[in-house]
Amino acid sequence: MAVTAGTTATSAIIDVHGIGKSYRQAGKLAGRGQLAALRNVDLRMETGAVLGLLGPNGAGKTTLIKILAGLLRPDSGGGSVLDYDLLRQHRQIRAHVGLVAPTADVGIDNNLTVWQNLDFWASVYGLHGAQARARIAGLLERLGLADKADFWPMRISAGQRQRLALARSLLAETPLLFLDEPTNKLDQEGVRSVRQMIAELNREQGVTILLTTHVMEEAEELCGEIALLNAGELVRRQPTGELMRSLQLARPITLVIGYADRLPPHWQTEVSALPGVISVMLDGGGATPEGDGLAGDACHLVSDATLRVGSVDLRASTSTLLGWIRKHGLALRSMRAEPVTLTDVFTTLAQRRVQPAVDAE
Amino acid sequence: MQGATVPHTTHTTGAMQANEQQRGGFSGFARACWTAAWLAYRNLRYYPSNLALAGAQELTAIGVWYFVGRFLNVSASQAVRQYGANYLAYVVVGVLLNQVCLAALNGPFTTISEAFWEKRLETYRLSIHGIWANVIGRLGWDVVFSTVLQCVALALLLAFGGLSLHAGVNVPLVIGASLLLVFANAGLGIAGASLFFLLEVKSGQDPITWAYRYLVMLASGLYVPLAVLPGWLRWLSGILPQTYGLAVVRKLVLTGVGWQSASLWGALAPLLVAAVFSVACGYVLLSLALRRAERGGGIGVVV
Repeated sequence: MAVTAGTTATSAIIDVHGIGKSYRQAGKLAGRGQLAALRNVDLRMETGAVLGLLGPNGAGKTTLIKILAGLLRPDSGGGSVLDYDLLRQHRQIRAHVGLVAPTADVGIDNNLTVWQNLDFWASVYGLHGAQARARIAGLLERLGLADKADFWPMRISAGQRQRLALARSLLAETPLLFLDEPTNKLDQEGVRSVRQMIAELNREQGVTILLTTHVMEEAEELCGEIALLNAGELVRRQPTGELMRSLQLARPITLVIGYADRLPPHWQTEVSALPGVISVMLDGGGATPEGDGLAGDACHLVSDATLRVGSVDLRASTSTLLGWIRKHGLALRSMRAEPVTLTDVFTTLAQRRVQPAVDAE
Repeated sequence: MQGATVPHTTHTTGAMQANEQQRGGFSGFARACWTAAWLAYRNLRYYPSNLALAGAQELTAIGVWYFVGRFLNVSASQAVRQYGANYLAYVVVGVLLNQVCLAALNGPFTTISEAFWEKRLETYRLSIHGIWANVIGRLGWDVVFSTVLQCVALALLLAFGGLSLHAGVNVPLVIGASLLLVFANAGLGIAGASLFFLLEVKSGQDPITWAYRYLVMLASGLYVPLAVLPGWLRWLSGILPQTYGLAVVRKLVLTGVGWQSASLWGALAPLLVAAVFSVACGYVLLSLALRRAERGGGIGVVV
C-alpha cells in the first residue's frame, strides 16, 4: 500500500507520484527476470523540510534518491523536482541538486590533496578564484578538515574521507540535498559535527534535505518527518514525534537509584502514571558499600536498585521521573536510555500486520 | 506523464542564481573541459615516472619505425614516388600522425572507464556540463600531450636523424588536415566509449576502436603504400579516415603541394565527410548510451 503525505502546502520542492522502477535481473541461479525496486511511490516534500527516508537494505532508498536526483529514469510515474519535470528535464534537475553517496570514496581522487580535490570539483561546479577558495576554506573549517587540507585522501581516516565527500557535495550550494547515509563510518565526534552541519544547512540556508539513514536516533534528531520504505513501497509517512508515539515503541530507560528503602509503598502505580510510561520493573535492592569499600572506610550500607521503565515518550518520561526521584528523596546513581532501532520500528509494523515481515539487517 | 513546467525561482538560493549565469553556456563548458584536462595532467604529474614512461613509450614507437624506414629506404622509396620517393619520411610522418590519432581514438573509452571505476562518473553527471565536459577535456589533454611528444620526436629526427621534409610546406593546411583526422578518430573513440554502456563492456577494450586500430595498421597505408595491398584490402582502405588523412598530410609535407592541387582535394573531401560523420555518430551513440544507462541504472558503481 502506498502512502502519500497528504499535505496541501503550495511550495512542494519534490512532488512525484506513482514512481516505479525495476532492474533487469540475470543470473544462473535466479534466472532472468525483473526485480522491482520501487512500486508506485508517491512523495511530496515542502521547501525547507528535512525528510528522513528509512528502510532496510534493498528497500529502494538509493534507487528513489537517484530517480529524484535525475540520475535514473523511472519506469512509471512522474512529477516534478525543483519545478523541473522529472521525465523531461532531468539534466536541469541533476545540475541543481547535491548528493552524498554512502561510500566515502565517491568522487575523491587519491592523486589530489584534500584541498585540490575540492578545488577540482569547485571548478566542475563553476566556482573559481577567490569565491572557490573562500567556499573551500569555509567548508573545511566547518567539517573539521582544515588541518588536513594538504593531506592525500588515503592518509586520512574513513570518517574524514566521508566528511570530504560531504564537503564536495556542499560546494555547489544547491537548494536540495540528498544525503544517503551521511554519517556512515563516522566516529562519534564526526557524527556530531555532520549532524550539526546538516541542521545548520537547513536552519540557516533553508536547504531542503532528504536523508536516508539506518539510525532512528539520527532521523529523530534531524528530520521533521519520517517516511518508511520497505520492499519498494512507501509504507508509512508521518511527522517524527507522531510516528514514534503512534508506534508506541517502548524505549527502555534504566535508572540505578540509591536509598531504595525510601521507595513509597505504591511506587509502581505512581511511576506507571507518569507520562509516556507503559511498563515498570524493579531489580535488586541489595546492599552495597558507600565509598570505595576499603578497610577503614565508614561503611554506610544503602539499598541500590535498578528501575527499568519502558517509555514511548522519552523526553516527558525522563523529566517527570527525575522529579519523582527528587520528591521521594531517592538518589540517582545513573540513567541510560536505549535508542529505538530501525529493526524495532519494522518489527512493530510487521507485528501489526501493516506489512509483511522484514528481514532484520 | 506530467507536462513540462516552467521552472521558477521559488526553490533557488541567491548564490545558486548567481552561479547559474557563470556556470552555463559555452564558457562554462570550456572551463569544465579545462578542469578535466587539468586533472589528467595533474594525475600524470603525481607520478613523474609515469610521465617519463609515457614519453619513452611514444618515442620508442617512432624509433622502431624510424629504423625500419632507414633499413628499407633504398629499396622501398620507389614505391612511394607520389610522396617524394622517400620511404623513411613516408613512414615516420605516418606514424607520428597516427600516434596522435591513437590518443584521440583510445581516450574517450579510457576516460569513461576510469571515471566509472573510480566512482566519479555519477558525480560528473550531477554537474551542469556532465560527463561530456570530462570526456572532451580529457580528450583534449590526450591529443595535446601526444602532439607535443610527436613534435619533440619530429624535431629530434629533423635535427639528428637525417629526416627531411619539403621546404615549402603549407603549415595551416597541414594543421587543418591533421585536425580533421584527429576529429574523425575522436568521433570513433566516442562511439567506442558508448559501448561501455550499450554492450556493457566495462573493462578491457571496446570492439570499435580495437578493430579500427588494427584495420588502420593493415589497410590505411600507414606502413606500406596502398599499391602493394590486394584488391579486397584496398576496398577496405576506402572506408578508413586514416587512408585519406595520411595521404593528405604526406602530400603536403613531403611534396609541398598547395591547396589548389586536385589530388589533395581528392583525399581532403572524403576526410572532411569522415570527420563530420564520425563526430556525429559518436555524439549520437554516447548520448543514446547515457540515456540507456539512466534507464538501467548503469552510470554509477553503487546502485
